[in-house]
Amino acid sequence: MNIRLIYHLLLKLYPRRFYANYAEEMEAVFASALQTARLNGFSAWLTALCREFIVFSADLFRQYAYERSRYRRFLMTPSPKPRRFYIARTMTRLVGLLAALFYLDVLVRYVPNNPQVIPLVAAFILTTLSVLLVWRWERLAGVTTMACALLVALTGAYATYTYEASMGEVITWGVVLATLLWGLPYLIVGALFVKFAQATEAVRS
Amino acid sequence: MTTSNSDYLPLTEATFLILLSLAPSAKHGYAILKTVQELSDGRVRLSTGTLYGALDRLLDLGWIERIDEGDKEGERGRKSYQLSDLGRRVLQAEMNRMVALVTLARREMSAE
Repeated sequence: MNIRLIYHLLLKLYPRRFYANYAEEMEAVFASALQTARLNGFSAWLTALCREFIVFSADLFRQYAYERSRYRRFLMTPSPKPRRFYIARTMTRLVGLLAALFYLDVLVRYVPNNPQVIPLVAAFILTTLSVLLVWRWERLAGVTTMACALLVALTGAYATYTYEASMGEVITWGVVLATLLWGLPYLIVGALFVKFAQATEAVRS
Repeated sequence: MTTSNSDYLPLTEATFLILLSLAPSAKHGYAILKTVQELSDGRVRLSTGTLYGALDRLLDLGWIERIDEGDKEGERGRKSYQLSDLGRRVLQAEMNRMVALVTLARREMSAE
């Protein structure tokens, strides 16, 4: 894997606005800087390379902090999106994340005695990761969270069905179908992520 | 409430050098990087991320402007950066501040 490709991929970690504005230029400057350093020998090239990669995380952090303050400034100015939009968006993210982590924690405790819960645990791990994506890729996180909601519903129904079957009980289809509702909160959270993403994009444009 | 140029002072060394590098003419990213290095005798070596982070802030402040050099055959147009009138005034204010400090220091040192 060549270094420019690694840098190209790393640039994708930058906030979306910054990436869209500068990624192409940054990649070209990075390539030129290394090319020039190479003319001065291997150690110069290595020093330039190390400087770029060592400082990268600090630059990234600084840019996210700036992006946040920039967004807050934008919210403070009279705009179509009032402050409560920002609060509602943050609340949705936190509620989605806390709910996923809570259910994950509860289910993990059940795993030793109930192996049929494992697919549901996997679904909740995916849901948690999907909710975490929202801080970087809002719309994508919305779509994946909705997909995870479906997965949670299906694996939940499967876990209930196999549990009742393993206990030799008469399968109560009403209960199995009711577990399909487990996915509903994430369906709502995912849909809200998409709506917030659309609203944010509309304001930015 | 209005802000005057002096409200932004003092500038960080990197910001000062970036603005100074753009004072004579518009430059693209890599040229700024090299000029900053030359102006500081190799002491300040900006990483690409630091440079573009600073340029982004300066654009937001309106101290510099981004200009498109126009599309060339087979490649997208290269972007250059130039100092705005406001940026030039801020740079001048920072230079005045530095001169005042140096004058003060010289006077105090010679009085010893």
